[in-house]
Amino acid sequence: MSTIRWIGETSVDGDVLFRVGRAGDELLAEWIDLCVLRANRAGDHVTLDVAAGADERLVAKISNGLAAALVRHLHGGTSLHASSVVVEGRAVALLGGSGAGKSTFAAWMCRADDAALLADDILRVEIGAGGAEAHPSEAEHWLEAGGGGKEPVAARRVAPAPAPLVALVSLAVGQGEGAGAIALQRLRGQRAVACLVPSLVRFVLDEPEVQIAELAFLERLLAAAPLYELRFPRGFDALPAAVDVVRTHLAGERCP
Amino acid sequence: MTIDETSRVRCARHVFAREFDEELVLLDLTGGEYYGLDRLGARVWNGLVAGRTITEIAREIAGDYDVTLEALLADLVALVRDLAEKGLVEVVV
Repeated sequence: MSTIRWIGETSVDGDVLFRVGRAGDELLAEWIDLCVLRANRAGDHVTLDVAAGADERLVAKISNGLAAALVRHLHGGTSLHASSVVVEGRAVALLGGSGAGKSTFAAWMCRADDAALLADDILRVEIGAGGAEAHPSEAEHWLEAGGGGKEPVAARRVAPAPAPLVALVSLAVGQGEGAGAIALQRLRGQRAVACLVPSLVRFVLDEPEVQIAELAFLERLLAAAPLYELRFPRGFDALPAAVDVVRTHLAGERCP
Repeated sequence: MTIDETSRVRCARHVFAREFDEELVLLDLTGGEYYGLDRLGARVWNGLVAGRTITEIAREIAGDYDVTLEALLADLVALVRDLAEKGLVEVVV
């Protein structure tokens, strides 16, 4: 039996919700009280152990979303914690921390007849000669259902195929003077990287070659799809106008 | 070891730097942590990589900023001390 060395975790209000570690040659990801993913470094031997009494729908969401993305990372693939919507052939990735409103924003965007859901929570991104591509991975929005919980709601339309990723938008709450306004600002340089890094889905955190490859990926991604910060007032009142700002901007982005 | 304007420091071997829009992102390979340097910080870092002292770097770039050499030196010493505290640079003995 190997001792587990936890090397990364996500907490909310002091409670650990998710952590990643190593036990000898094995990589582990644990969603507290829900399930544990175990994989060898090559990612060709993977198990998911479900905790007794765990919510089956949540486990299914993890299995198809974050767990699959972690295994993809072992194979050299990259995913973002992001919702994503395609509008008239152009995809946007919506970034932000827990509670930023990514799912809600995506759901509102998908009310339009020309929009379709690519991802609610985990977005697979591939970068090739033609630019960045967003791959469809999820068919449901997970929306606030009261009591702090979330419930799945089937998307009106689901994107059937990958789409060019033409913009990344980080959702932020308006602050200080102008907090009531909607503002879209391009982020560049170190600010863009600082904004993007927390959205990377990473299983291997402690291997220099992987870290360097990740930085190179960020460079190519930012070259392929500009990153913007969208500040708008929290709440549903400002949501339609904020979505309009993104849709208008998306229509003007260069499509490879 | 104390860092002052005459110090010569070098970038730590476990740090990987990459330029983004004339700014620098530093990746600490020991823990996978990212750090950012603005344009001034990037110029300082590149000076350190080239083996210059803090004073030499300050003299080289002072003309590009509306600030006295003394004030710039104080800022650069503070920056390099911060980099040293984070383990991103090491004093050359």
